[in-house]
Amino acid sequence: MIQMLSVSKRYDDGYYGLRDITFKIGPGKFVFLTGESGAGKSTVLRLIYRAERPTNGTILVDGVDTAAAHGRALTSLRRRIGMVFQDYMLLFDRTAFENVALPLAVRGVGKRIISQEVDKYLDQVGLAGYQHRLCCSLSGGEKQRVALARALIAKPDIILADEPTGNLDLSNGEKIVEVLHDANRLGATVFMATHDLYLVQSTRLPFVRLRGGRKVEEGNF
Amino acid sequence: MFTLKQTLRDLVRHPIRTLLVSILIAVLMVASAGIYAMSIDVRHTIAEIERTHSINVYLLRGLDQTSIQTLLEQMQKDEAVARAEYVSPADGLKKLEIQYPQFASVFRDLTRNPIPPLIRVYPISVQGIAALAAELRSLAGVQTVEYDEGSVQGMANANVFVHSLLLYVLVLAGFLFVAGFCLMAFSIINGKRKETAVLSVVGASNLQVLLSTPAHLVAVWALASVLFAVVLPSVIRYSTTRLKASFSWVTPEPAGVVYAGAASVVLLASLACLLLACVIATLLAYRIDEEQRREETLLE
Repeated sequence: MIQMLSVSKRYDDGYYGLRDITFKIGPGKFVFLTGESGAGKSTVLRLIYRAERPTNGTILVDGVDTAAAHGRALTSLRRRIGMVFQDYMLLFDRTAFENVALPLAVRGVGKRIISQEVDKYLDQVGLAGYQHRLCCSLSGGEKQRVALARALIAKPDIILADEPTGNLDLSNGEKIVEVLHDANRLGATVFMATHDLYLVQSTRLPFVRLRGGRKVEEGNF
Repeated sequence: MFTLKQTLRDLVRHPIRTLLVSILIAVLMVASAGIYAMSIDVRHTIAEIERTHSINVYLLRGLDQTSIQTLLEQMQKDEAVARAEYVSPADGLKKLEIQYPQFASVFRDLTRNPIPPLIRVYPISVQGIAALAAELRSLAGVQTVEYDEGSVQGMANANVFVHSLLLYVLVLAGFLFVAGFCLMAFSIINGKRKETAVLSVVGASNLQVLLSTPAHLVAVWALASVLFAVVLPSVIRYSTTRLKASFSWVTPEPAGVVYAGAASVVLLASLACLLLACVIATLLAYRIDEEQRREETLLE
């Protein structure tokens, strides 16, 4: 469960990224975080996976206060979260296999299991046979699917997706959302930031809408 | 274990880049060590040249052998004296005959040997030669003391100039070495920024995130050090050969001593730079999330 209680984020230059945000996402839910560019969507996600701390308020992930997480607790928190970024955050000088294998490698999983799992997840995102392709040679859609496979491979409880379809055409975007739905059906909580209101409306799933760093709406279409 | 494997894979993944960076660092190390070795050779050569300067200590005529021997021993014990040798009047005359063969018959026809007994004293350094000469002059049994003041002064001036030049070159080499090493380290740190950010996102432990870049730096430094250790002996051999060719009468320092001195100085300096680079890399790893955040805010 993800819970944000009166969360505000003020940057060093005095700019407020978020003001008094409160919402709750139950376990196993698929929720959209929507709003225009600059609304604070990425800030919300970064606060949840503790890339930064809130200025005020509390963020709880399965009861753990993310702001107070340090050392092993922080590592443990991040291991329960799979992240997908708009700009992929892939290592482009490495193969799809190496990128997808990374979350398991840092956990010390054996070579054979890593190999099986990577094949399985690349297959799931429609990239079977792409193991040895360098990420720099992949198309935008393929890169995003590699990033998605990397987010899913460690079977995280929570998947945070920051505009994963933002740089993709409609067809590739739909594939990404479909994979996220599959992960959600298997029990993962998915929290996806998007500015695409059509996508949110068409899926009829719960959403949280931000504008200028404030929550302006929460519910279902 | 993960960090080690990743580092080795990284080196293998970009063999040309790894080799180029290692070679550049090794070149910096060899150049600095070469300059250091050259400074050792130059100082050694100057010391050898200084040792050719001597003070002629003329003794009183008729001084008995026991007194001469006592004086000789007294001079040899002096800390400012490298060595002292006794030249008897007969030996002195023979040397004159050899030095001026055209007057050999004149020397042979002399009824009385005019040359006084002499002790030739070689000082350790020309710097304190005047004080040493004054000290020797005050000894009982000494008639007079002579040395080439003009030559000694010239030598002392040249000595000061060469040492200043050496110091300047060494400081410059040290600066270039540190600057070059830090530049290489910065390029490695910069190249690893994204990897550090990705590692923290995929759930790597703090240690794995923080060690990622320092491990790469250490690996490249180790490779550069191996290249350095392999190439340095050739540089020192070349330097010694040139020294022998220029100053055939100089006995160079043993190559092993020069190698050990230059290698240890440069390795210690590079270790200090490496340590600094690792500390900077570790501190930067803490800040990378923040930088990534700024980039994303710009994107948004």
